[in-house]
Amino acid sequence: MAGGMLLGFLLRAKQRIVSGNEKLITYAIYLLLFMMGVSIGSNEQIMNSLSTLGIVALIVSMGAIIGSILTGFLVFKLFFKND
Amino acid sequence: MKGSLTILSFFTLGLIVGRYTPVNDWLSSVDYSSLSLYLLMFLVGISIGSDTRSLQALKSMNLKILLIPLATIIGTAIGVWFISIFVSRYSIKELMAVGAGYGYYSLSSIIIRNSHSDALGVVALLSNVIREIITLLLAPLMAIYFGKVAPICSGGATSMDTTLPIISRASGKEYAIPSLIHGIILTILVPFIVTLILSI
Repeated sequence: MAGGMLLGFLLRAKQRIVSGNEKLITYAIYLLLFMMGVSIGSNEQIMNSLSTLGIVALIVSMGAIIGSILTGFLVFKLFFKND
Repeated sequence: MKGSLTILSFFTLGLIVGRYTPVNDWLSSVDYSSLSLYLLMFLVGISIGSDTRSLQALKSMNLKILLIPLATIIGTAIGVWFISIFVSRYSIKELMAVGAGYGYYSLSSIIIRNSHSDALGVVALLSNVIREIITLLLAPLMAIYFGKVAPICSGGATSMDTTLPIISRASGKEYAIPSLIHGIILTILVPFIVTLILSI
């Protein structure tokens, strides 16, 4: 990733390459998630527990969001409010 | 929101193909996943490095802004630690790794799947998509009740792109640059923190 960042910095003036790269990332992500789906879809055990996994996911997101909202609130109160 | 729905439909399409066709048996003989992950990380690196907005933002930076990503990291850890009491299926370490995706669902789910398991990869994908969607829906309320920094922290890594428009509307234009910097920092940190947590 660090190598990519350096290369991206050097290529920053070449907007065509940069926007081509953004598209490439999008397609790479689509492909990888499709593959992930294929592998999981063929896994009987995971397919049977999909709803449980979804509930765990929801609980984790709630915890993560509420926790970060509260620390965000604290930082805002202490450091940003008087700006 | 459109982006995360597209991602989910590709994933769902994959689920259907994997469930009802033997495609996976042909694929499982090739180890494409680690290689493609490195390639993806490289491409993401190019995209961050070439983003001229980040350089401009850095020039106008006030060190105070760095407190926001710190708040997100600490807040997420505390929140996930708290909810881990209610989840018996996964250890606190595993849940922390999911939380450390900070909304960056594509990369974090792929990393977790590679270095841990398919099932936890699914949890990471869903959990981080939910984080993005909730932020998109509730950012205005968060800004009203919990201050203008709260929607940025809730958005996590997505505060540099998908949730940036709603954050700058909810918190005001002066929070657009802090939001951008926050997102960039977390995006860079996600692969490191997730890998670190899983390797402990």
